[in-house]
Amino acid sequence: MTLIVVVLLGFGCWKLLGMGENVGYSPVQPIPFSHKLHAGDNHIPCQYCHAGVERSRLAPIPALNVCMGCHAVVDNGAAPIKEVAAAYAALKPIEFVRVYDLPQFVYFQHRWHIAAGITCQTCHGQVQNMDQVSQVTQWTMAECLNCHRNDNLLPGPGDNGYHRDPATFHDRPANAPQDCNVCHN
Amino acid sequence: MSKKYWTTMEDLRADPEVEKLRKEEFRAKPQEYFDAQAKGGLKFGRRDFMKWSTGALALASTACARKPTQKIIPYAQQPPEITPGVPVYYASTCRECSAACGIVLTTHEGRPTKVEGNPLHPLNRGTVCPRGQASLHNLYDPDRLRSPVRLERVHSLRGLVGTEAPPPEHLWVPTNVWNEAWNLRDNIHPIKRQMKAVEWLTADLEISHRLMAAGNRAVLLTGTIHGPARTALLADFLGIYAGMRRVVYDSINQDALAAGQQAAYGAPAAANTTPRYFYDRAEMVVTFGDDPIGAGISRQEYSYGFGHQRKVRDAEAPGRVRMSRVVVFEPALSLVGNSADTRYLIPPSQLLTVAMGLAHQLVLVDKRSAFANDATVAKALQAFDPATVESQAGLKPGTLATVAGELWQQRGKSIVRGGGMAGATEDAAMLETAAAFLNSVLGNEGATVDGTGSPSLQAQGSDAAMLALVDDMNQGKVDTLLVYGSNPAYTLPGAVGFLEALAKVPHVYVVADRLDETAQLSDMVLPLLHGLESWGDAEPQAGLYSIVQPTIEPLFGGRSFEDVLINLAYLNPAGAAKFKAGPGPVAPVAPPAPAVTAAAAAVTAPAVTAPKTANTAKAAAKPAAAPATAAAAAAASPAPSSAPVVAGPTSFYDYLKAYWRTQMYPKYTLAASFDDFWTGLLQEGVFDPDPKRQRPGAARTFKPAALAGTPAPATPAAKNSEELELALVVNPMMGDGWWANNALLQEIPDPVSKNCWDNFFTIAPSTAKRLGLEPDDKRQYAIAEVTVGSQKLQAPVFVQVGVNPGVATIAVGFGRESVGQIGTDIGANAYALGQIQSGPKPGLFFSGAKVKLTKQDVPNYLLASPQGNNYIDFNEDEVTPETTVAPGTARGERIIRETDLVQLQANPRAGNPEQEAPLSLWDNGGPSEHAFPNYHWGMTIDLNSCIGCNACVAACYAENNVPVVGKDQVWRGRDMAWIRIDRYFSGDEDNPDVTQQPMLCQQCANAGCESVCPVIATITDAEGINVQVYNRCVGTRFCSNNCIYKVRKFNFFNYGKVRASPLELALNPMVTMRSKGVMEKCNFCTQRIHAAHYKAKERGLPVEDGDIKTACQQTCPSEAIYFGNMNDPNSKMMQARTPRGYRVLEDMNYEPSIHYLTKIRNLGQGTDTA
Repeated sequence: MTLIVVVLLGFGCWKLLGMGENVGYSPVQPIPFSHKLHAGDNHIPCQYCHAGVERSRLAPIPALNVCMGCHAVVDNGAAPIKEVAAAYAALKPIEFVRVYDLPQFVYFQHRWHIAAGITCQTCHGQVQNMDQVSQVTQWTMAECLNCHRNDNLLPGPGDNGYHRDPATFHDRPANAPQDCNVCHN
Repeated sequence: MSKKYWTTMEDLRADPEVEKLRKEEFRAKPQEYFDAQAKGGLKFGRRDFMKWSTGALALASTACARKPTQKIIPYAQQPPEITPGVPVYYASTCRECSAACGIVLTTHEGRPTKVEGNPLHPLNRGTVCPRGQASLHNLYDPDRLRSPVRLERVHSLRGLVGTEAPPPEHLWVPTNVWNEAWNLRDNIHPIKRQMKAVEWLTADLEISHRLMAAGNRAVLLTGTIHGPARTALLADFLGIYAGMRRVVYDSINQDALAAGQQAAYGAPAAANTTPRYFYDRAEMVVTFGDDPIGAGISRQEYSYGFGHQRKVRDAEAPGRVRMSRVVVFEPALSLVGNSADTRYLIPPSQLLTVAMGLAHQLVLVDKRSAFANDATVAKALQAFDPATVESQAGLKPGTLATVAGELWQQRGKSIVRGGGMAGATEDAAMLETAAAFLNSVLGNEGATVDGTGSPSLQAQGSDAAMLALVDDMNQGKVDTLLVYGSNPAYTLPGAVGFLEALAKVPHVYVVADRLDETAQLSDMVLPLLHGLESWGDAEPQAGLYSIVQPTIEPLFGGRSFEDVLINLAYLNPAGAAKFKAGPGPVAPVAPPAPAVTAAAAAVTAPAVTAPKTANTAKAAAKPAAAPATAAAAAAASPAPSSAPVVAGPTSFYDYLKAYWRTQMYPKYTLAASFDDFWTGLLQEGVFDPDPKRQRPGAARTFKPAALAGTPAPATPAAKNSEELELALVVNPMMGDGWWANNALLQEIPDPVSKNCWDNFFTIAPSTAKRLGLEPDDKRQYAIAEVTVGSQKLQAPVFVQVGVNPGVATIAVGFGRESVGQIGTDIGANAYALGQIQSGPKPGLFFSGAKVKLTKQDVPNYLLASPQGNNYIDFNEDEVTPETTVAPGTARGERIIRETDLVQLQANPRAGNPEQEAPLSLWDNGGPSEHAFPNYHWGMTIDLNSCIGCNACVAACYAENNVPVVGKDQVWRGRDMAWIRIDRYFSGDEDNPDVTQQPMLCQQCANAGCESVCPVIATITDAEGINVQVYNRCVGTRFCSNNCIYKVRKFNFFNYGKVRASPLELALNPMVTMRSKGVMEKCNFCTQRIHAAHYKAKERGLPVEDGDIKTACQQTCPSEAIYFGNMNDPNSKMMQARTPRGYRVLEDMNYEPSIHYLTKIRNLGQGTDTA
């Protein structure tokens, strides 16, 4: 009896440790939107649709008016596009299934990372090759700290020298911060 | 430093029970979880729960290892100004009370999450009071009315005659959740069963029909209403319903002030005005009963001026160091009394005598001012010989001469205030006249008192008008009564007989946000929008305008009062045409225009993207993402679309904009076009075009004849009499009781008594001893009854220092019979004890009645106070091992440091001696080994300008999602406030000095909490913040035990999950909701620091001084809190650390980052502290 409980608990704990990693999670979305077609084949920049990611902690999912900005004229006969157009006409938003999900006590800030020149692919994988988005990174705190500890800040498009200015950061190495309250408010 | 300091009566007496409790590790024993949950729920204990949950864990963990599916719902049409995750700010005007402070709302995806003051608004200058901070609890109050309801009037409440038979079943229609919630309280509110939801159109038709039929027997009863467009609409409405008249009634009003001023200076030039006081120009404030900063009509403006004048100024020029002096004559401790340099305890009946004695001294003895030669004045003052007055009032001989001398020195720079609720005796108007006389003598009139330039419109209610209305109602002269913004069934004293009178009015309609006491007795109730959901304008002081704009789509339906009026006006056949002739191109036949501008419509769109918290996830799960424009249009068209009668009602938004276009804009050619003007107005929220408003208007001439009617000096009550004088007071948190259902305001302790969730009689310790009303050894309080006229009231008797031995006080604003699930039946309704003024000038008065406190033969009562819970304990011997110190005096060295102004002028370090370097356990023997190379955040708190108003406490609750725990948990020592105001008494045990100390996490560099945490859940970060990592905390509570400041709070329950919906919408999405078993505390608003870092990064420059304002600092009206970088010696925070700075318990070597500035008392010259 004890053995069974121990085995059960052990199994449970092992599963618990793996809980939330979700690598490979690739849910079917309500519309067959293909990142491969848009971002890959047609080279539409990520931030064309996910606009606002550079100033928000979130990476906003585009509203239907963004879709219709092009699709009012582009390929507007296709069945999925008609579906989107109908939803837009009815002002009825599409309920996407969430792929990347951090716990609620983590305040990941997209804008900081965009400003530091981190590409979307660093965390989200080669989305431009995915027809249906799937999670490629195992989002544990260790994964965050891997970068925050090891990689110095890369001069990215948003870099304005802030972190290299002795007046702002003295002699501190230009690593990403590792204080707990950077992510846990 | 031989002064003794104490916090509570138990502390003063060194109560052995309390001492024992303090020595224990945890104040309260573990509580059976489910017992604390709803009674009658699951009945098994914590340990049982652990047993079961182990098994459940095993099963659950094998069953599913994937997180549940979550949805992301983007907008269909994204409003251009919204980026999900980025807050949007709107300027508006606070509608919580009639003071009308400017506010800035932080909204996240269309829901307001934080109220802050509008820095551009000249009244509150960026700050808001606790009630403003807590106003989101009113907006998201689940007990708000959700549709118009018809009530069958059965006057069974409070034993009134009427049928008690159960109502016909068909009348009870459970229309919504709200109904269900109310029915739970069936036993208390039998009337609920007779409620029936009705359509808006039905309501509109019925009410307009009744109003038309009633003709001149229709009455509109409202509270104070100001604002150019709002008053214009009222005038239009009253013109359309010809014969209808309006009565203005506020429960806490300035009736006495208005009457006293009118007697002194004649009728005011502008109707309904009372003077505006420039506390920011007053070097000396003398009050006779009034509490301008706790209960003042423009409380935040007064607090700002008062608090800034309390600051020590010109400290760099040693001889010229100065601060204001505050002398208070009052029956019992009040908020302004807490800040007073000198307090005199005067019973209400003696206040006028003392004021007249002061006038006698000033005018007849000292021969000050031209009034010294006025025969009328001399005759009126003759009877008030200072020596006699002093002996009768129990003042030391020479007191009045000293105060008069000081006042004369500060002539033109002082304010004398009378009245207030505590001073509102039968002679309240005379007291105001006396205060006006003193102001005129001192030349304050026209210098600090403004009665002509831009007087206050914030209090227009009149008791006399209300009493006349009750008379009319009794005589059957009122056929239809429409009530808004006023709750006379609750606030009118029992002696007035309002309920009986109301029963004689055939038709009563109430516009209210909930089924309050008056609404319960009406025929129909129309749900009222909250101020944050509606359009409007305000004119708190003549010439100062401010705009109210909605920041959220109406949550529960409902209409603003103005929209109700517009709809009723249209339904009057005679009215529609007349209304068209109203100001501006208001087009009644136009199709329904959106009630909100495109911008506001966009912000109110309820779509939610990327659920980050449980709450937003819930909101997103609802199909609430309705088309934004359609919803806005629906909100705008008040009548249902099927309305056959109304061609197309306009909304108050149209009216407002048209009014401003035609009436206001042309007066001021400040913008190129009206659209520019309007946009600017909405952006800034305030319009203050007249620079003359910054100075008081011309002085008025005092009419000496006003003093002629002064009653003879009051004879003091016999000492040790059984009879006490009753003084009703205003609780600075609860005000007139409108906020009773606001859990936050119930929980934050009253700054005077430090008790929460109750009201009570307060008497002095000596009185309690004499009358046998002392608390028992379990610290529970006796319940006593008083009788005033025909009214009886029972309440517990709290014992407090600083109360005149012949006085008992009790706060109004409690004892609501019907306000909601939180506020109903808390405390006792002290309004009941008010009395009717006899004589030619009818009115109400609330203080001065002689009462006997009769002890009731019932179990003693428990009062909850956080003041005793968070006790900074330390061993007295530690500080001075070689000398013997009296208990309590070491606090003067280690926690509170104070001195007086004279000593400070001589020595900048007075009262704040240098301390020896403390012993250290650290290797280097010195300061902390932490390095803070870039920023080291710290705080400086000025004990001198802290007025103890609790605004910081409320702001912290709102910013950091701090849970409200309820009376039972507060009593167990489990209150959750991250910042609290510790109040210390010192000196005379009967009339002590008060020091108020905001206490929050001191962000120690050598933090004791850190070294004992077994899981490193609390550590010092690179910027000097002692961070608390909730997800790492396992809840050992070692840290709290080791914290010498007692600022760590433990989540005993999962408070985040028990919020009644939709209160969760008020949560700040940038702060984690802590769960059960987690320790929490102040973290210097780390989310605000992040935001500032980000802005700095965008700029490419370091964070500058002033970029970060913590929530507490932001709302402090007296700027007592400075926050900044300790590495930057030029920061305002470091500059404020003049030689007055000290650290609490510095010798413990915790290296706190918060410095306090010594408390300075301005004792004047030659006065003592008695």
